Amino acid sequence: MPRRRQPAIVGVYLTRQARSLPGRTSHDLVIEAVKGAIADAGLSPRDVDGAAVDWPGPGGAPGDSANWAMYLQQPLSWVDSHFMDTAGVRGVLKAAAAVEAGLCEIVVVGSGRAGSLVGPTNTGGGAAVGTGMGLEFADPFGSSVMAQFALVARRHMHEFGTTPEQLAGVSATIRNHGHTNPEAVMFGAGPFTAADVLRSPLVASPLHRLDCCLVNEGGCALVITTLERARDLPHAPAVILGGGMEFMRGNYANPPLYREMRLLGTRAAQRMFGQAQVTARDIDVFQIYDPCSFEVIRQFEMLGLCAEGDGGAFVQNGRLDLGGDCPTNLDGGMMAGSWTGTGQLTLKVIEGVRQLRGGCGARQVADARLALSTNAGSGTSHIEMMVMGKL
Amino acid sequence: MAGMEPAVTELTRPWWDACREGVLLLPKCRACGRHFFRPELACTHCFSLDWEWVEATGRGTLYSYTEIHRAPVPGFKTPAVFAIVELEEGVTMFSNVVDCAAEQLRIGMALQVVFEPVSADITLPKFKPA
Repeated sequence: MPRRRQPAIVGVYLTRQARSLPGRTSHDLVIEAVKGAIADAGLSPRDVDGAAVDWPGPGGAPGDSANWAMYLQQPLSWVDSHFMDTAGVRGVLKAAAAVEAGLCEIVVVGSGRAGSLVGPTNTGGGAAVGTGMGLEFADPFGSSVMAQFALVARRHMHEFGTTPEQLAGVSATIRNHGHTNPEAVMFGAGPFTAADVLRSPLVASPLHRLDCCLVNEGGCALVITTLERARDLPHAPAVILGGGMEFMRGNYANPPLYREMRLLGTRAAQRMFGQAQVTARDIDVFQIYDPCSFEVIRQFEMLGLCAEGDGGAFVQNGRLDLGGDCPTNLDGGMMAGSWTGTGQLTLKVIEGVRQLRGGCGARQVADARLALSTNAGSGTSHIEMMVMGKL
Repeated sequence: MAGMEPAVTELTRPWWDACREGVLLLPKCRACGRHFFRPELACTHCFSLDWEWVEATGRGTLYSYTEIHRAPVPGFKTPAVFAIVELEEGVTMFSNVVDCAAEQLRIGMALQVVFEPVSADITLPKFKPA
């Protein structure tokens, strides 16, 4: 039963996503994405009265979404400015809650990134992506994003016998999806086999380079309003049916212990599926956060689609392919599609919206009615997730 | 170590000073009697602000590890073993395992703290097989 002021996503846009976008800045990528998403929704900038959009600068306080009132040419009724709120599932759920509460009518969520993401000291692209947080009890020992995910993966392998080959199978599957998506950074780079993944250099054992997500540039944004307003707009709305979030602690500061992280997301999923009144088995399109291959395995276990420890086997043999039981990251995900710091969080939602609209061409899931999008995961000690449906 | 030097605070200065002297400290709550780590203003078990520094035995076990092959910053020597160590006192911490070939690493193996100076100010507690 639709809620009063039921929120829905009515516009989406992504700029070109590429290893590098010479001549572009983070700021002009966000502008392109915001304009594009508003146009896709069939609206004009003056229709928007809420913004959770990054403001890279120059001009105005960096990060402050209120700067967008200038371009949107009207006072805004609602803003959210934290960098984790201007993207992805968290950004969408907060914006949707604001719309549902009547704080505003039409919100844009978005971000973009050009330039190095691996720190001012690195220009060669050879360094591991750090957490960028100056963590006193992690960084001095060589901490990085992938190293923290690797610590969870290693413990899972120890407890359940999950193998590097199983991890590599996930990587090859998602990379092959990107290989066939013209918008993916790694379009045409494959095809890949699990053996190719295992032959790539180790980044942080057991994770090989091809088990890890990309680092690239690009921008993206989306537009949220009420279902009532959506009925006058050009695209079929992607109705936000439910969401959930779970935070074990601040990111990366303390060791991600498998014995705690194994369940990360279970409560969020119960909340989300309870609101949506569906189960994990009803989902047609899986947009699973894939910073590394292992995290995809853990999230299928967390969702209850297989028993804890059985994820390594569950994700093999085409199950995650188009036509499989759980079509996953058909856009190439973060391993072959795009990872831009925060934009990939939003792309997990955007691909879900596009699959529900139909028209994804060769990667379209037939009669997609329910899409699940997840963000973050065990290595980072928090997770956000949402289910969207079509009317 | 460029770029990886810890930003020591007033709260954590005693811990780093002790490391330089070859002593591993842990915060221990006076209210509930439990150790916690990392150092925080209040006990992470019971929220009490009443805690003290005590000396750890320096013994622990390997909870998980990864051999890192890609340096987080230029100049960080790889490969290195980035690990979660579970101390006898029941707390866990990030560290490095040293003096152990990667193929000899076993989850659950007994470890003993060793101290490695990395600058005039900073000495890191690392772990070797016990």
